[in-house]
Amino acid sequence: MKRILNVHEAPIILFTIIVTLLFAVISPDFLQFDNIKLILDQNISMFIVAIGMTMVILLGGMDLSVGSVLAVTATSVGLFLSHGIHPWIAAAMGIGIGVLCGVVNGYFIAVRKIPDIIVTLATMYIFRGIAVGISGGTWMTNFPADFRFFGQGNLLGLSFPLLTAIILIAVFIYLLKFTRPGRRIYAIGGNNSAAKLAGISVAKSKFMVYVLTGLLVGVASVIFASKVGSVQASTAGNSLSFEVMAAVLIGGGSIFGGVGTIAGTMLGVLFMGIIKNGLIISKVSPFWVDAATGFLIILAIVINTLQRIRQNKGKEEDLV
Amino acid sequence: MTHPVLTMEGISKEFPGVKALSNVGFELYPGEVHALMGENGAGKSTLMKVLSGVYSPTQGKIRLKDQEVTFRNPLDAQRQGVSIIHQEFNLFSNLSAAENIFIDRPEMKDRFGRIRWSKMYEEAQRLVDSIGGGEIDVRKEVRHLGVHSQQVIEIAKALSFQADVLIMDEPSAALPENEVKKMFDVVNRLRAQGVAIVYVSHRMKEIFEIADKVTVLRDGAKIDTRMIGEVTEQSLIQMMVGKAVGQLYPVREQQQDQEVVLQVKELSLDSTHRVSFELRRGEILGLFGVPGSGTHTIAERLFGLKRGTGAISIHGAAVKINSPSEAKAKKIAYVPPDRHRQGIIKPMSIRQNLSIPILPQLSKGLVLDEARIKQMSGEYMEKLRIKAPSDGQSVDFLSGGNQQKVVIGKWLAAHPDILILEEPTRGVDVGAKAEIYSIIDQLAQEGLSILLISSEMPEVIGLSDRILVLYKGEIVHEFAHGEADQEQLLQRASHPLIEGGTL
Amino acid sequence: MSAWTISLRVNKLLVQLILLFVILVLFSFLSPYFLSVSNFMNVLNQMVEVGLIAIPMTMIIISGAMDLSVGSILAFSAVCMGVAFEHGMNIWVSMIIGLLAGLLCGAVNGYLIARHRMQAIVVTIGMLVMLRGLVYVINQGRPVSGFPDAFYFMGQQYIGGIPVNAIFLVIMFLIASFVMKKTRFSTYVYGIGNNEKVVRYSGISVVRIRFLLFMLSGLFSALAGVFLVSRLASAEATSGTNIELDVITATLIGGTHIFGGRGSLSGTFVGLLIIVFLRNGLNLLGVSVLYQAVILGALLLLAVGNKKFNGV
Repeated sequence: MKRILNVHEAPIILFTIIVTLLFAVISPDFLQFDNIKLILDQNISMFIVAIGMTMVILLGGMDLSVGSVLAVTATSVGLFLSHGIHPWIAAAMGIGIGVLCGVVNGYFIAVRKIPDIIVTLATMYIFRGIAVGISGGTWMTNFPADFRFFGQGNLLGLSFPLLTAIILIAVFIYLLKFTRPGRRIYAIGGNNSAAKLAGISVAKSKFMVYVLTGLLVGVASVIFASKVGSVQASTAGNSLSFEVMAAVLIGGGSIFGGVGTIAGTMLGVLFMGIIKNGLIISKVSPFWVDAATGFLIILAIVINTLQRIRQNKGKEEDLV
Repeated sequence: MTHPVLTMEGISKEFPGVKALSNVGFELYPGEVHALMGENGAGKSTLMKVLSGVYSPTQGKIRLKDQEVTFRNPLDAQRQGVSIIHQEFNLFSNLSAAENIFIDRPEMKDRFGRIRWSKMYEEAQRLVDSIGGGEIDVRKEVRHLGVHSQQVIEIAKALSFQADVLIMDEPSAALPENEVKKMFDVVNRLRAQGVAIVYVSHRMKEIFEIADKVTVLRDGAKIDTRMIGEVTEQSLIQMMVGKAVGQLYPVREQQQDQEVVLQVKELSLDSTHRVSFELRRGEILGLFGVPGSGTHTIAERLFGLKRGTGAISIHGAAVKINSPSEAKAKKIAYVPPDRHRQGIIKPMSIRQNLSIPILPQLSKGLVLDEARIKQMSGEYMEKLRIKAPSDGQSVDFLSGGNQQKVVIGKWLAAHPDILILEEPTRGVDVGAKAEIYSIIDQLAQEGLSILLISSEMPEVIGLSDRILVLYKGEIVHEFAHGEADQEQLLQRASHPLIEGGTL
Repeated sequence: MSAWTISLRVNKLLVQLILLFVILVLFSFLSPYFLSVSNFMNVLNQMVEVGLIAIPMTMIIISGAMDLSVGSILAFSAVCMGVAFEHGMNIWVSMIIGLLAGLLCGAVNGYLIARHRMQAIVVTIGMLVMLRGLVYVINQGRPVSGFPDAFYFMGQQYIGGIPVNAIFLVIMFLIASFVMKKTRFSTYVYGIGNNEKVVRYSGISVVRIRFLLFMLSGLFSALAGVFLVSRLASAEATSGTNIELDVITATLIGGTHIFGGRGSLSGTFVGLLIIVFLRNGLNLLGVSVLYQAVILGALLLLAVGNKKFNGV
């Protein structure tokens, strides 16, 4: 039992079970197969973005801009499509723009060494502004039928977005566990100066992580645009950054870096998805959903702090 | 003797305005433990930094195995076979011991770039075993390991680079007394493997126990290198200080005052069990114990940094102390062990640092009374002989001794009844040490009750009226004035069960 | 303090003033309406909300933390006040309810951050999202208006040609600046920003100081909400959105160091003027609000990234 409690993901597994049971009691529709599929389906973009955010938080960083990156990428994809560019090329170009946004973040954070919170706070507004600017403030709709494949198509009997998410999750779990660049992320988050002494280029790793995050957000935004069928630049992915960050923290990631896993984060995303879905199914005012998200973020940091205190028992110094 | 593995010739290092090293030569042979000694500021740390690739020397050559070498950075030095183990370990507490040893090493991946964990665990275990760390599970995360094991991991990391030269900076500082012996075992094994070890330490006793040779630095120059059999503690100190040591400790007169100021009954928390003692007016009570014995915890408890059970009474009245501000209100002051992190606010001025605990008394209503603050800071700068052009100077630019005086001064200004001093002379040069000792003595004579916690035995013995020895959280012995010598003190602190069992 | 740091400090202020001057001159050329007394008074009238929040924000950043929830607290207080008024309460009582609501939010922030040592950024982001949600829950997103004329005095009246709220802001800045220079509170705040532990080890309750700072932030955000409602004659759920960008940019352009320990309210005031005149100029040129955010975001990056500003 003690060993189970020491697993970092223990609280999130427990919470997920509790809320699942709770909503199952409140609403009979909740535990239906279709509803579970819906929860997965609705949160595909979040699963993918959360992979990137996990790496960012593992580094001890933070990325507030992912929501705006999603808006900018989705809007550009919409724009490309409306100019008659082939869906596959449009999607690839969109992902390229995601990468570009990551490069911008990475440049200021890794090269110019400006604190990530400030950089991504600034780019959050900058990218959002650009998204609205290029969209001309209107909705992007009427995507060609071919484009629907990314969000709604099937491949090998599985939904394409789900398959994409599963592959990406598997690839990044592998990268983080079995490759030197992946282990460097953990090393830097664990002890920045020791990492430098071991010859690890902190700037390079940081840059890489922000670029990869941009890439992942790019993929997520293509799926998002295709699934929803329309994009509004001013609202797309509005609270995405905050929600994804909460998912990482709830999933056992430490805000101080070095601790956390992609598997844990995925559970965190699932948990947030269940809460939202459950609230809607339970016919609570949709306004409560936002309030609940905020509450979950605070809950996440509470859990984070508690875990930290438990791990540092007897080492009060480290807490200060 | 064989051929030296490492030679340094005419090493000089200059910083703007300061010559930290001048023309230092140094030879190191395989399989020897070479102690490096010197007072603070003598150039030890600069020499180590040159040797480990942090600094490049302004002048001079380094020859490693007959090849002239330059180290571009610590990693480069490590790859060429010179590793350093700092006092504060450079470990990743979130990673396994094995990964700490082999972090980011290309030889641990296979053709496809995949990390071979099983190979890493095997080799790590082999390395750790080879220096007698067989009980360490290298799959465990480092934060679950003890200090000694962490040190073994650091050494194993150096060995994984085929280290010819290993520099150990105060390796015993962080270790509890009973683990120092284990560390010596590791050093002996390394010596047997032919590794040359530079052993930097202040602790005389260790030097005589482990070193083959000793080199003394003073004022950035090498004084001499001798075989350990040729020197005595006294002669080493003379070499380090440059003159015969004068009277470092003031002659304390036994206090006759019997008024009990502080009474502690059955204090328990963390690892301390039911500690009881009394502190009288004008008394200096020494608390001694190896790290982890609970002396630090008692200080933290008395100053309200930690909570626990037990009764504390001051001047006969029972008090509760749950925070530093409550302790301050009860006229308890605490000079903490780590002045950089706990004692001074670096960019702020001497005046601001001195006044910070007593700002309410130095204000008119909510507004600061600048005139009184100036007067107060002038008074304490003079009283403590703090050397600085003015009290507006940032404490950052002061020497260690003067910084420490600022920390003491800021609490004296609060006119405490009880002063807890923990490591009051850590990282302070000999001159300032003597000054601080005479200040402590004078304060006690003025009637201040002082609780002295220190890991430097001569200090505890030289200053204290009585000494309480702690072992594993309990008081195991009390020495009256003049009763204790270093040997007895250390024995009580590390083997309390010998001689009839005080437990 | 060496001559070097002093010259650097002067230099920093000089750079800020030059930037302000450049903006003033630039927009005077670009827009015929910019350089006029009425426009300047208009700017002063509009800068109050950002300015009020910038006061505690400067203190919080000096202490080494940050508060991202200010915009949501502003909206929450404004809507609380509006709803209280709708329920038939006296306008001044409603106003006090609004202020108390802000104070309460600040207390929650302070409790979690100061007492339980949680990361300020994450906690205040949580509050940002949660309070904005609650604002909609409370009032279903409807704006509240129809306040009595007496109440508009705060946001719309002029005394001697100068807006009342601007006078109030300047007075607040003077008081706060005095507090951050001449009282022990300032020593504690700067001390915490430089080395929190030493302050604690000096027998001062760091928890209390931090708590107080976040309470102040909540109160001033609420105050900004009240002035906003008075100025616009309407309490809206969207009010204060993104205001943290303006506030933080003003503070950081004003030379407050992002890692804490250094900064001043006079600097923040200059930073504030830079921001508001920039916004005003862009408004006059017809630049959309979202593009303004792009420019402000870039300015924020510039302020923190430029060595002349942050003085390292």
